[in-house]
Amino acid sequence: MADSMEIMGAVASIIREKAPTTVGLEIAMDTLLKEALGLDSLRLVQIMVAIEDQFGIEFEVEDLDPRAFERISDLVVLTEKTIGTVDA
Amino acid sequence: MNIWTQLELRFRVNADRPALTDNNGTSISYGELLVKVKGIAARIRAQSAVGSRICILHTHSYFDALAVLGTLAADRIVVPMSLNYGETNCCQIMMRAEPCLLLSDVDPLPDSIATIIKDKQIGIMQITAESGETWNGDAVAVESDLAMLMFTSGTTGVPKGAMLTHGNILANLGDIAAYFTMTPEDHFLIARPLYHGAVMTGEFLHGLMHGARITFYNEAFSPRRLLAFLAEKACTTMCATPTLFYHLAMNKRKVELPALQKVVVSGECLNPQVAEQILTSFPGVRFFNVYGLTEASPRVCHLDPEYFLAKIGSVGVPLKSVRIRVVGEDGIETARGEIGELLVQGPNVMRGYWKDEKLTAQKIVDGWLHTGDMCRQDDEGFLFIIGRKDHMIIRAGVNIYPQDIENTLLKDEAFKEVMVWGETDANYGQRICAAFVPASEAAMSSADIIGICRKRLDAYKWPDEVLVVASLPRNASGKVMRARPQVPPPALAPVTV
Repeated sequence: MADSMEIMGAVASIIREKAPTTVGLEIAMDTLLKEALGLDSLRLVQIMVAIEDQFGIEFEVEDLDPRAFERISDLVVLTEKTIGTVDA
Repeated sequence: MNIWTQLELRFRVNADRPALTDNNGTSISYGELLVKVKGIAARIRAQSAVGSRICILHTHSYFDALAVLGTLAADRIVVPMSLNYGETNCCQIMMRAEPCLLLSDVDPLPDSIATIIKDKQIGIMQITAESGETWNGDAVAVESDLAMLMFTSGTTGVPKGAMLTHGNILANLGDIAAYFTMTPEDHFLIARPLYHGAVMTGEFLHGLMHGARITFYNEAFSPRRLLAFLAEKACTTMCATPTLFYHLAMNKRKVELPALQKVVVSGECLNPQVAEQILTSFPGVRFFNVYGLTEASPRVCHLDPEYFLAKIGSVGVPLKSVRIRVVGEDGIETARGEIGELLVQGPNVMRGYWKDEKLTAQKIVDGWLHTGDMCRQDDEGFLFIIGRKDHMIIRAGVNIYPQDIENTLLKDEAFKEVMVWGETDANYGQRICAAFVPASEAAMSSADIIGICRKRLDAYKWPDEVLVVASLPRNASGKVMRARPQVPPPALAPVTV
């Protein structure tokens, strides 16, 4: 099972790929998705789908409330939780 | 002719039917809505004079809806705003419209808006679910024929206020009803802000006029969540941009929407592949493709479901009381099949731009509204929009003018030249591309440029792709050709989204 650091690395790579205009910006656990990285809701959708594909998971509808995604850590925590559900 | 007097009649007829779903998911009836609206109207009238403009800005569309109806019932002029377009846009609208009241629950208000309110002595009124509106029973005299100032973006970056009269909007509502039937059995999902003319007239007012139930989807876009919401609420009708519906169609997990009957797509050119994809993904749903612009209240053309596939990509034929012409640069009507600018005439065409006679005279010439949209008509009269005369980009349904971005970025001394253009994009309809010629010979990275864009532009105008080039492409007469530069220097590869 992937740990937080692995997931963090994968999420950062996906963001760099899906939103190349984040070039030069720091991507850390507490980085703000909208304010710091400029990710709008459509871009976030692409990133979430790519995370699902990479880890072979599917996020639950109730976990996808856009208001819950403020920082990178929110993506990492949800990914970790969903992987845990699948592995269990 | 007054929108509110028409609505009030319908509200009374449908008094026991569900009208709006509030911010907590509770449904209120048309009878309850009428009482609330009358109460709000009484408060607005007590704080404003005839002809006053009332700006409207809320965190939830339900409160925007109450505010719009209260303002109409008070016979004052509705000026919708949306924070989706940034603080600057709201400030510009308030400076132009000079309202006497702002109806808002945004707390705290952004500093820039709060400063204008203080400096211009604009009153603030809150409309909340708990405010216990009561109807004082006063009849409202009709005093103004101006119903709304709908602001739309402009090439200079300053929004223009289209003056829409009660007659304009009622004419458009009548024409919309002729092809797009709504009944009290319908449940309309509104997923975009009332700031857009298409949403205000074609969704909100149209739904209310026919006693439909209206529910607002107030979350940021997430296809899976929106599909689940549509299914849970058993909505029958929805309007959206093609981009949004494409994302719904591409959702991994199949979601059954047995209640969904009618979908109207508008706001962007409908790509044939997208049209086919959404038809395949939502069998049994009747899709309309429509076209309009704020200055026409907004609807101009409609393509009905029976032609959606046969005339794929077309925006259909003009509304019943709308006349159109397609003209070349010489102002002479083009032959069928040839591309020209679309001109529109009808009772839905705005009176003009608020306090801007010069711009009005450029936009409405000899009684014809010049849309700026390039189009062609096929042999049967079906209209196809090809693009924009002024290179406007429509990204995720939002109008963006390249000249506006260029003028803003050229204020930065780092740039000698900037050129912005739009390119087709599956995710956004169009994306914003920008080429930059640095002012100095010092190396400039994409990251440097993006940093400047972030600092100087509202978020929805940030380029999706940036190129650093030595010079901009020009034609033989030296005019910049607004298109992707053919050969970017190899050392400075593009950043592609």
